[in-house]
Amino acid sequence: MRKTITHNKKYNPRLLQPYDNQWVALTLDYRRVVAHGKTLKETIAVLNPHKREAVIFHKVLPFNISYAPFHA
Amino acid sequence: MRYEYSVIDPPDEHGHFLKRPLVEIEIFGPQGTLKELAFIDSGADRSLFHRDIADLLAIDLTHTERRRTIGITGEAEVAFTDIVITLPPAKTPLRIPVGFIDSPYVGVLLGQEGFFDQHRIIFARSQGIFTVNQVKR
Repeated sequence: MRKTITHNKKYNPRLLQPYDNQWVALTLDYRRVVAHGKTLKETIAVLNPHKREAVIFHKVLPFNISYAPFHA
Repeated sequence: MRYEYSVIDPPDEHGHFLKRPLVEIEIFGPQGTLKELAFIDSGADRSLFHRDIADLLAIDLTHTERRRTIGITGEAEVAFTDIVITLPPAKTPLRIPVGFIDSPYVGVLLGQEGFFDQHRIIFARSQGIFTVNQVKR
């Protein structure tokens, strides 16, 4: 059976559970959240300036909503 | 490049887990770069990034084009400008139009114009994978 090669490092989905509707900064191996906040600026402010390029930022969308464009 | 869908945990009230096509990108601006985990949004006409990204990378939006945009939070005037991104491990710079919006429901969305134009994207959700390959011009 051919092995599937994927190019995204999978994070443990449970890792993001505490960060509902927040911005997070993940380590490059996706194993740890090293900073979080209500805004991206707040999240970056927690990091040392030289660490800004050593993390991956992500907006964790609210868990209780489905995402689809519409206009109410 | 082949990617696995990312599972969103916790599940909904019925025990179903959402899965989203997320990819790592690097965003370039006059004052450095940011790595972001971006949502490939085939339902979006154009890419949308949170406005904080423009501020942090010193991307000037003062004289950019304003376009009306409708989304999950309603309708807004959004400032659009061309931005350079890369899609690691590829190092090829991609220039795409991006709208910057201050919305709690937008992080980094990669939409049709620009991003889909420059890639062949296949969603195979039943297999839990999607592929994104740059179109050679």
